[in-house]
Amino acid sequence: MKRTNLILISALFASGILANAHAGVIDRATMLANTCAGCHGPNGISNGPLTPSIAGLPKEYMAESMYDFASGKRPSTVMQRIAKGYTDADIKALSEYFSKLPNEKSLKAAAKASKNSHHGHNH
Amino acid sequence: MTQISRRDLLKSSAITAAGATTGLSTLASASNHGKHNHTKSNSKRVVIVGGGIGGATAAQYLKKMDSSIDVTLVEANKDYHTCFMSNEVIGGVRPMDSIEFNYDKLAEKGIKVIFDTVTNIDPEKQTITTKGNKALRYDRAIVSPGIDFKYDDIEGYSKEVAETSIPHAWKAGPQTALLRKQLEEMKDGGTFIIVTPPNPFRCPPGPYERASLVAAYFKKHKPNSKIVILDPKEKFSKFGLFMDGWKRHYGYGTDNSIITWIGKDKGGAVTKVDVATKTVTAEAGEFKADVLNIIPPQKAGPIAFETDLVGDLEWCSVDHKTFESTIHKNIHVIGDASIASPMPKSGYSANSQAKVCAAAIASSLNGVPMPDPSWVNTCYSIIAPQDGVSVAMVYAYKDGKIIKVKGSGGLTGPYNAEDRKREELYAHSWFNNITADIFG
Repeated sequence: MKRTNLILISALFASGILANAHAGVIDRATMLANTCAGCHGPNGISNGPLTPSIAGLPKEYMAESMYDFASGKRPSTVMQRIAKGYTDADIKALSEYFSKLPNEKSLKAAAKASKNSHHGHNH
Repeated sequence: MTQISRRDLLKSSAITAAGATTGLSTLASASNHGKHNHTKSNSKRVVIVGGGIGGATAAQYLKKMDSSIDVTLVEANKDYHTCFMSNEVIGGVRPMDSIEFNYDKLAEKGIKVIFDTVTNIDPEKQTITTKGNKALRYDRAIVSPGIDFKYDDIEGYSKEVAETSIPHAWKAGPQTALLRKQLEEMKDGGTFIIVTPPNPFRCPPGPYERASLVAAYFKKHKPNSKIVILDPKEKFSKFGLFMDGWKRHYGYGTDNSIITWIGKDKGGAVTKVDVATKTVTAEAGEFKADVLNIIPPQKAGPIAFETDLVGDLEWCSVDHKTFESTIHKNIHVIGDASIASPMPKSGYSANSQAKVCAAAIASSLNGVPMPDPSWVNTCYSIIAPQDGVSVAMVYAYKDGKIIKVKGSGGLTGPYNAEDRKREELYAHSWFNNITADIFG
């Protein structure tokens, strides 16, 4: 478990997600996205059991979901209350931010590739 | 040099060595231009006092926002038990070790974790002193001390009594275990009394969730037992949702109700306790308990008073954008100890405030503007198995104040079995995710 986490972190670094090119410069999208982590997990990857991961969602899908939660078109328990708290610009920024994060599938693939290369090295 | 500090020194070099293998700290030290940047004039040293939800989150996010910031976290205990979900431990549906966390991951990420107690903060010299005789210089300090109890407000109650026979269980850990043990040992037909605090206090729906989860335990295992809530307030958080849930699950309002709630109007304010007989005196009269839980009135943690971060108040007044103290420059206060109204004193609030505070500090230390802040709070409560509810809110910054974003937030709607089942699972997801965010 610990090892997997380390590999995941390295994978995130490799993909440039965690490495901040301009240290200390925090944009509005990051500011907004930070508030999502409490329920949806750090870097948009959920530990379950029910709240979904939002990393790597297509931005159009995420934006549409936010609007549909807010309008009630898409039934929800919590998100209908949260989605109403954001402007169009906020929703655009959030959707773009999460669309650029690696999803669970690509993180797992990166972790597996890294594990395999380590394995090969050992033999 | 004392023995303690020598040992700690060894520990911190061990942490650096361990960190170097992760690749994460390699990057951190590369941008640090070496480990010994303490003497550099453009230093970015942040010392965080208190490794609870606010402090640990701030440490993580400062490192994430700018890995060149030298982050030191001073915390008294090696383990942390979350207050949230501790009611499930008290209700017997969650093991104690599932709410226990440590600081290993923070150390792996290059955060200097020191297990020690802060004895003094000097705002002029910008130095923090510890019991272990450490003097830590800071460019910015973050104080996240949580709450302290006003034991004296209830005659006969004290820290010693809380630790031995009448727990508050409002800081999780041994207190949680003590209350759980007493409930397990209580005979069927016994009375469990919860004395609740006046506003403001940590986790506003917490006492009522506690009553709910203990009621669920009684219903299944000790069906002749009763719960009495003695409350100095007329109303409480999620009032309608709890009342409705108690009626559906615990016969509230009938002669056979497991739960009786006595609010301010009915004389629920408690002034005195007789420890030997576990009898409390309220305006409504005397109430004898088999198991007694007193959650005392609250104020900011001790270091906030010792550093005079409170002024004439009992909580710390802060700038709502940066969480910098309005009394002392370069000291920021977050979490339960801060006055961040309309945000409640909750774990999610502390987590959200810590990120905004980290953004303010990282921006300021790098001489760049910080973006407009944004906060979220979502508080789940479990009324019964498969019956979860919540209150949520999105907050923005306007005219120097934190404000609720109009039209957002609010409470869970009327009862719907499917939604309530989902909300319980969302509550557990929230727990898994927020703890990963803080300690992962």
